[in-house]
Amino acid sequence: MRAFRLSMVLLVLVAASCGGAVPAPTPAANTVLLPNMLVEAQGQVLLRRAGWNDYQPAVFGAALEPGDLLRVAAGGSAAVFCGDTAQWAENPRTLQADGSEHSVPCQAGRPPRPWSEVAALRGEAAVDLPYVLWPRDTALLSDRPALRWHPLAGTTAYTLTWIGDDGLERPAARVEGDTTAWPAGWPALQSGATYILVVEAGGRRSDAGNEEHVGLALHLLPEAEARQVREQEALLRAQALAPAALDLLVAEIYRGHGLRAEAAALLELMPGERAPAAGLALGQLYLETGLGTEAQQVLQQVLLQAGGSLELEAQARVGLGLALRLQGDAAGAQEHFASALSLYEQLGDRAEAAQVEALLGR
Amino acid sequence: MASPSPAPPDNPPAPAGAPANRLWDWLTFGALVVLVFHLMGLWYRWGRPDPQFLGFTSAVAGLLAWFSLLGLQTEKGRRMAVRLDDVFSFQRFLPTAWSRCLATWLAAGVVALLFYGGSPLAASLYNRHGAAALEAGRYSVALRDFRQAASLHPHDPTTHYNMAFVYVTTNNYDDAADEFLQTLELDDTFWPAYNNLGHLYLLQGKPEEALQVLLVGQRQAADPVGQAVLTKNVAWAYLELELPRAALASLEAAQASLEALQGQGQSVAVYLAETHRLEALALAALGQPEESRRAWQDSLGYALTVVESPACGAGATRLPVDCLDAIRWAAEAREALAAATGEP
Repeated sequence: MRAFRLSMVLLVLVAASCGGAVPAPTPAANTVLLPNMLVEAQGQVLLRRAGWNDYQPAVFGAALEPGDLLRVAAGGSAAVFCGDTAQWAENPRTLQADGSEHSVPCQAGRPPRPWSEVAALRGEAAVDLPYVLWPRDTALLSDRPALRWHPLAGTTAYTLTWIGDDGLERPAARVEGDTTAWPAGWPALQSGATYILVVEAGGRRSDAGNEEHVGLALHLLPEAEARQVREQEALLRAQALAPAALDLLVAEIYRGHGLRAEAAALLELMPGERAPAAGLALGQLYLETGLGTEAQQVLQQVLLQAGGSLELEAQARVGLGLALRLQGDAAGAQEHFASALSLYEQLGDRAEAAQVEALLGR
Repeated sequence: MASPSPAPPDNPPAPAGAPANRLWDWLTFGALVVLVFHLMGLWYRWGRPDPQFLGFTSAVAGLLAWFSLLGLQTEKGRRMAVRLDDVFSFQRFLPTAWSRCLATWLAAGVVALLFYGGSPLAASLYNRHGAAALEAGRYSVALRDFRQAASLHPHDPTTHYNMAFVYVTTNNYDDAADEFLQTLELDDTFWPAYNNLGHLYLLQGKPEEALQVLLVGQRQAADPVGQAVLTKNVAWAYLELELPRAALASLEAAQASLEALQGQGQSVAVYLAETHRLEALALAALGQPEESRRAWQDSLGYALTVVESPACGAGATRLPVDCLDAIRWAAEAREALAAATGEP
């Protein structure tokens, strides 16, 4: 029996040494994988994406992938933020300004979203209605969000009606201007419920347009997920990055959780001149929520800022095409798509060209 | 006064050779055979991982068992067994036939448990130690550990694969091929074995054999990374067979799969570097210098992603195989690009 006991002890020890290792911490299931991003680009910084014919000027905020090559001329500076949380401790990574080619120093990172995920199927086209700008088609972190709508010429007073299935009474509120804080008398939003904001002025209702209530629903993010968002944001804000880069990345976290309203608010309120990458992200958010007119305005601005960046111009044109298509201008949309296709072909970007060809219906 | 004679016991002992005791003895004998067999198995697996030694000891054990069985049928043999029993004093601790039988079966059970349960666990430990030694570049230690693991758990394909890997690293290609084949005999879905065997054949200048193995591997591999990597190596085999168009078709498929995997966050840059390198070679063979130059640039991009990664950084004491390959491909790409642009 003693031998048996000894054997058992030995076996237990062996088993413990085989299977008793502490598992490595893994990122939480809902942690959003951020893209790798060029968070600093001063002087001559050139980018060659995998598949491109040659190097092109790189702009702040460009999403980068493993396989892309960067060249920083002497006197310039460039730094990359790696989206994989495992690499956050070493962010941002400064590239040598030696004129030689360098890889993107990141092992993983979220690839760019395909345009098919960006375009809403229906959007607001009637400019004579006080259609809702925010919050619409979104999850929310705040249970008392700010409200904003399209202002009507010569109208200052609006009536807000809140439709919800949480069983709580929120009487119609009369407010001045085109934006307001959460009305004082209204109970906070409840998790698990779905809501729609309706704005009315002079007999014109926001839900009388071509979209009615489609694509307007919003909900409060579940508490556990909201906590994760806040934690990831806090970790990100602790990084030694420029404020514009931080805002851009936090907006990506928000977007990853469907928090479109909060992401758009962040990008709209960025201090100083909005970087083209931020404009592009904002334009995409407008497109996702069916706000064609607003998307068009922002993306036109990006187009003006594109300068010599063929990629930025191509991206802005794809966005503009989608915005026009949302507003029913098929011919205008095709024109922008064709321009974008030509730019991508010039770059040698077969993957993006294939996406645009799909938009062109080829 | 005469002392009173002792009263006869209520249950007089059964005479020697009574059927009940005979049954217990037979059962004890069976347990002894089981015990000896597993003890020898343990000795073989733990102490002497040598198939010839196993054959020898198995034969000796068999002979001993038969001699014991036959010997116990004779009076002399039984007396010898009783004397042995007296010497080891089993009677003192285990006075009855059934208790001796039970004790022997228990001992046999413990040894069998160690044999069947303990060996795979120990093999796993040896595999871990071997892998650590391999990573540290101590190839002889790694090989010894993997051999011990194979001895403890002969039907584990991973162990044979690990041994093959050591052989490849030490340029012992014949033994490596044998171990890869043994791995595939044990698990015909283990894609890295197909891939490395095909790779080995390509290094040995045997593209036909390589293509055959890699195509089978492509059909067997369920893992998407495995599929993509095997497809890339199929392209390499086509290229070696001077079939650049077939190579390009395979490379296109491999690139699409690898790019999709990269989009999912998988680290496949080293495979993409090689894929584009092969593409550049195939395009050059087809007389398309501009496309070839672009493919070299792509290869350089992915190769530098690996070369400039922390795993291949200055802190690493030994460079992993992927780093060495990527360094070579980056140099090759730079050379080809410089030649294409006429740079010095």
